Amino acid sequence: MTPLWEIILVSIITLLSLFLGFLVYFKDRKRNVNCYFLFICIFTTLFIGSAYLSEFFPLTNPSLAILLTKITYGAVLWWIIFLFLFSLSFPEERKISSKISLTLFSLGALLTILILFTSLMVKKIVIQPWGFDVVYGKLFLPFFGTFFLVLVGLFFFNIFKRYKKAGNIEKQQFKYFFLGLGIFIGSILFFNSFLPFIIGSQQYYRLGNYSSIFFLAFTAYAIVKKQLFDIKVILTEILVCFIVLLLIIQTITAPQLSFKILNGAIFILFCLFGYYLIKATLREISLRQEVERLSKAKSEFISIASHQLRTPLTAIKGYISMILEGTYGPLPGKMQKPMENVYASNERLIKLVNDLLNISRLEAGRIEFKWEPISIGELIENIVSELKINAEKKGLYLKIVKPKEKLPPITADKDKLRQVILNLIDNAIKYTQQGGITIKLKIENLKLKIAVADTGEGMTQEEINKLFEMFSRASAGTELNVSGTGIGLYVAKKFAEAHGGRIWVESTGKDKGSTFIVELPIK
Amino acid sequence: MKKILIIEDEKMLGEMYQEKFRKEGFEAFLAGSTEEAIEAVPKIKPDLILLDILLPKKNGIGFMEWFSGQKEFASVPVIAFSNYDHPEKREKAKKLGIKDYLIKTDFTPQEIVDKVKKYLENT
Repeated sequence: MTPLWEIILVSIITLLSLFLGFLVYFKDRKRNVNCYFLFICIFTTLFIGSAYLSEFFPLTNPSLAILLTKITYGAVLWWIIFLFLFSLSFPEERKISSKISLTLFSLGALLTILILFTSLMVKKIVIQPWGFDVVYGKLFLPFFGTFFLVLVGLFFFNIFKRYKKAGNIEKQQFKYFFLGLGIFIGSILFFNSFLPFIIGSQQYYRLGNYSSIFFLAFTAYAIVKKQLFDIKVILTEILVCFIVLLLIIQTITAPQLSFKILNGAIFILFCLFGYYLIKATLREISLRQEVERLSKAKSEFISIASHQLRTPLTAIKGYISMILEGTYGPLPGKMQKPMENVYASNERLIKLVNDLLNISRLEAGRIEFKWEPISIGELIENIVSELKINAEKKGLYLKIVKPKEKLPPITADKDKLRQVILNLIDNAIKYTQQGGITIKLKIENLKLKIAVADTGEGMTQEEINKLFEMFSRASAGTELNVSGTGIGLYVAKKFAEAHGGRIWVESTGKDKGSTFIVELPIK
Repeated sequence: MKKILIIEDEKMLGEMYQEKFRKEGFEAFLAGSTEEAIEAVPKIKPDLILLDILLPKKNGIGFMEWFSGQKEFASVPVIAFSNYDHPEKREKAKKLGIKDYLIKTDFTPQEIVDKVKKYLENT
């Protein structure tokens, strides 16, 4: 007599296997991978069920025990066939050649006949105190064993090949799949191979079989994960059905009529509530999917649009730079300045397109950061040497003040951080008419502070409050006829925050200069 | 003389870069599509390839999928230069072996020539 825990375990595993199989199948009946998964679940149920049932009959009905054992091996055979087909289709659908399918199914049918109707595969059973051991026929290893091992080998080959070529989303799905597979294979090797070798008996082999539920559960999750939101509907429906069932039972089993009426009323109210809950969940999922789709489409549109805008700007930048470099011969003196102005205007347009693209990506949460250790001192020195000419043209000084102690490297996205600091220093030059700009670097409370102080126009508290909003500029922007769109500081703030830092400005008022401070964690 | 293959479908840009590279002492060849480039690579045997990503029919990623299988040209550096800045495309291109991904509007032709010279010095 098998223990109660095993009865419960087998019942749960078989029901859960079928539930997972049909859940995945009904998610998308057109996909082959979903169909193959259903068959894997059906054959899992069959081999676990028949292996379990076979333990009841060795003494009373040995023929039935042998038949159930043969059914177990037949189910395992078809399980590995569908697992192999699954490996050709997971995670992205691929057409399988009809020759492969025909060969597999033909060989599978032949082996099934040999297993079920002959003793060439499963010869007999030998009764043991705990149950029985299987004695295999002479064709078991060469036919069944070879067929099984070849398909297992091909399965792993396909899966790892597809994993290597997979994109990020598919790789996530594969990780769940591998986790479930790892648990299952580990259990099979331990209970079906290692333990029988050590103790000389197959007594505990069924425990290896039962671990298949981990494989099925993680694989089901991997298949549906891409459309994870739908799981919410299913779980909501299950919860509602479960509570409805409890309420029906409660109504029927209520001792008095008054309780039956009360429970009946609660049941009706809950049915209405359940209906609206499921409807609301479906609407929420539909909206979220639409938002996801639109966000992706917007991101793609912005990438394409910025490409189309950048193409003519590239031509202008390229040809003007070549003209200024003298590629087409010496430039007449009076053309130098106009050409430089055209080049500078073009650079502004390029910057505007870049800023708009950054904003779009920031808002969609699609901007990517490349984290690496960088030397902030070196970065700022490069920016200063680049902008020094602009400062000198206006008769302004541009200097860096470093602390006495050596600056530690910080983990940052070099390009994005460069953009932030360049923006601040460039703004400082634009908004300063006399004096100059000092960039101070300081370490305070395990944080790096980069302060860009200018002797320029300064700003009021009201202007400071709105400064980091999109398209916002201080009044000096229009008064001094300074070029700018008001996007740079908004982008700088977002980038600083993405680094785990912050950015703010201090100014004591109009004509009293401003200090922009970027604070970054040292990590 | 080092050979550069420029894969660029915008005729004006392609000719601009070709002219610049020739003035800098390179033998510069132009291909307007992935198909043209696949035909040209075995004939020209370039020392470096400048690859645009958004190309008609098969894009730059399609070219890299072919090129990464050509063992004969395994040591030839490929630099993607494009105005199409899409993180997923960038990631995919890097996985296929491109050495760098430059946004065209960030660099003048002279700056691109300087970058190419650096890559050729290192190979």
